[in-house]
Amino acid sequence: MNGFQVRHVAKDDVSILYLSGFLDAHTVPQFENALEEVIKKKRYKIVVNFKDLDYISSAGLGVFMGFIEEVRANGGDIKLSNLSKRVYKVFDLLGFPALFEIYDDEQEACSKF
Amino acid sequence: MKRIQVTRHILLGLIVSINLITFFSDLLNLKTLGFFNSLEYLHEGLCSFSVWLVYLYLSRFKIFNETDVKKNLKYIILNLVSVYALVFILKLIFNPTFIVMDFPPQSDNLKSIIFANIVSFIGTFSMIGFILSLRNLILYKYKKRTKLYFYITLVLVAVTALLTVMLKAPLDLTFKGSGIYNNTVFSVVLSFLIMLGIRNSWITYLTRKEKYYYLFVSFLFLWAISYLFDYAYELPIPYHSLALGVFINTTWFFLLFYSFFAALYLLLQLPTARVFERKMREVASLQNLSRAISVELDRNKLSALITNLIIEVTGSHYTWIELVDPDDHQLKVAATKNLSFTETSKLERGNIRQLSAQIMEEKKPYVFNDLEKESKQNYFSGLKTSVASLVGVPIIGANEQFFGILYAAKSNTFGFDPDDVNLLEAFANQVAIALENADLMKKSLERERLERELQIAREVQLRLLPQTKPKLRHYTLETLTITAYEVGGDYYDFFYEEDHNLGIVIGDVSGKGTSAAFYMAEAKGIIQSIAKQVHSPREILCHANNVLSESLEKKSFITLLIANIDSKNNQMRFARAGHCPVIHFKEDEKKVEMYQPSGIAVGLDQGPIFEKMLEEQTLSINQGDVLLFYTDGLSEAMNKNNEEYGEERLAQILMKNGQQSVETLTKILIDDIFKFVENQSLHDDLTLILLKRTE
Repeated sequence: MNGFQVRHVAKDDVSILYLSGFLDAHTVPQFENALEEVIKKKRYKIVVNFKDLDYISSAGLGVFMGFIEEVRANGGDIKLSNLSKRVYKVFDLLGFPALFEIYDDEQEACSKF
Repeated sequence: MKRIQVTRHILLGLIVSINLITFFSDLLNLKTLGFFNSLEYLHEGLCSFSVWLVYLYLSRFKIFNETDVKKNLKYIILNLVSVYALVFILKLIFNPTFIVMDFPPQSDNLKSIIFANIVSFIGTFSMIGFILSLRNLILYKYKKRTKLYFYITLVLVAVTALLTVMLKAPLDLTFKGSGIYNNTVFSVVLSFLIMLGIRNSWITYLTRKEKYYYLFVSFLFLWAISYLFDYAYELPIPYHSLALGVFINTTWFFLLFYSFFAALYLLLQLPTARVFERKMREVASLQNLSRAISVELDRNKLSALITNLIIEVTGSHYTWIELVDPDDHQLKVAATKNLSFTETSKLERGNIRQLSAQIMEEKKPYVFNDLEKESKQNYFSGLKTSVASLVGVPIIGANEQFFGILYAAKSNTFGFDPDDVNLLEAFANQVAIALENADLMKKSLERERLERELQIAREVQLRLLPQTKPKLRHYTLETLTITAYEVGGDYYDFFYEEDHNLGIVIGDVSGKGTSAAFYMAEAKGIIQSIAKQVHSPREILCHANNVLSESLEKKSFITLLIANIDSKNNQMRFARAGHCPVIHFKEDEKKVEMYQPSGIAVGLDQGPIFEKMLEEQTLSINQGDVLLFYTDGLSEAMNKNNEEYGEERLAQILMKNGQQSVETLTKILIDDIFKFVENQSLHDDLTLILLKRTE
């Protein structure tokens, strides 16, 4: 299995998380920890950039659900950007576009806060 | 047991009768003024035989086969004291007189003869007793030739006795006249006795206190022994029997040498006694420790055990172990000795934390032999205990992993020498090994537990699936589930509304293992009960979402698809809550359609959005049509290039083989998927349901 990596970049008050590789049940804790750390710093404006993510499993989607409530309660949001067709299909199938804002472009996502 | 009793009695009887015979022979000699002197060899022979019998007799007693050093020493002392006491009393009663002008000594009165006989009798028993007890001491540490020397000595003693009897020369080591023969053999005997006399390794293993005590005793004993021969045996025994005299004299020498060397050894070992004792304790304690750590897995119990050992071995007054807490990575006191609970908690919060931090960083031991002068800090402020010397040793495992610190303290200054520190480090190493073992064990137990849990979850999951295929007129149906190594959350179920009405449920619980199995069970129960009251798939799903979204974990959700097939009108109503689409092979048009009405997964939303998004779709099923329901394990099955099998391939298979029976179609599908993934293992469960209208 390919590895999974998450990189955090702070842009003003928006935290951007770059995901790459495979996000499945095995790598989910890594992503969870990264999100948790950002939220611990009280940074609630989060954009997740999927540009280099090859695959996401249903467990990977669960991570967003685990944090969205807290983030929104604190006036922030988790916005998604740069989803590949394959990744978008998974989000779409589950109906995520109804729950999350999804943008083609990171810049656009950042500007929507 | 009985046999031994009998032989003992017989032996005692023989001994007494022989001694009576020799007593009468002495009497006869007195009355006849040496008329029976010609029978003296017989007399001596009988006396020697009696010695041998006494040896046999006494060696049958348990107290003369004792391996315990202290008991043997006790018997030797008791033996000596009773001989002195008895001879003293006998001397008072008989007031014996002997003529010492000649050798052997002579006597002319009855009293002295009786005295000589009784003393000989007692002396034989006492000396044989000594020999047996000494033998036990010598054999404490068995050496190769010890037994051989012992028996050679016995034989040489017999030879000396024979020579002495024949030559009638005293054993005074003067080598005058005929005395040269028996005295020469005798000196060989003495050298053997010296050799046996230095076999006193039992002394080494005495404690320091015992060494002092026995040194004192041995001086007294040596003094008492040196007078014993002159006091009790010198005159009466040679008078009674020369052979016996030789035996007793030799034994006396043996006793003298042995106690002399014992005293000497004790004296020489005193300076090293403390060190030796300590080393012995160290070895024993490390042994105890390694035995303990192989069985004890609880880190607190283990620490308690070690603190006890440290007190015992180093003589520390206080000791405690601080271990890194696996949860918050802070040092916490795991075990203490001689510190109260409040003191411990004060310690945990006190200045000692700075020292701990230092030790943790430098990973080397800290030693204070005069805490007040050497350290500016008062580590023990607010504590009742007074600490003047302190050692802190880091507990470091393989890979330089820091486990904690082991502290030992004494209330006196200069309490710890380098040896102590080395020992404490050895202890710390053992603790590290033990903690590592415990961790490994815990992990493997945990893994085992998880595996068992998975096994249970798998069984639960399989039991939740329908055990029989449903029957619907004019339709055939085939299901297939392949579980991945780890339990996935695939699930399907059927329910009937009426005879001509079949409900199909297919779903996938996010997450794996036990929790997935439980959610699955919950979903099954809820859907089965709602389906009895509500008929529209959309409504069933809305109700199910209401109930399930409350009990599901935040990050868990369930994708569900519910379809309702009416075989009268040949229509299917279905709604899709985030689940994979339905693929429809249309026989008459020879084409495949994919339906993905809008809908989000159950558990993502409490209700409003879910209900707003969820659409219900109705379609007609014509004769020969095939419907495929599946889970993402099927569409997302991956080959080694991380390509997904995908809906396109599914559609193509259906297109090509739509005319086949559902059983054949299932087989073709699965074969194709496994051909696609090659030897990659499935990473998720895979479920499919094929429905075909046959008439």
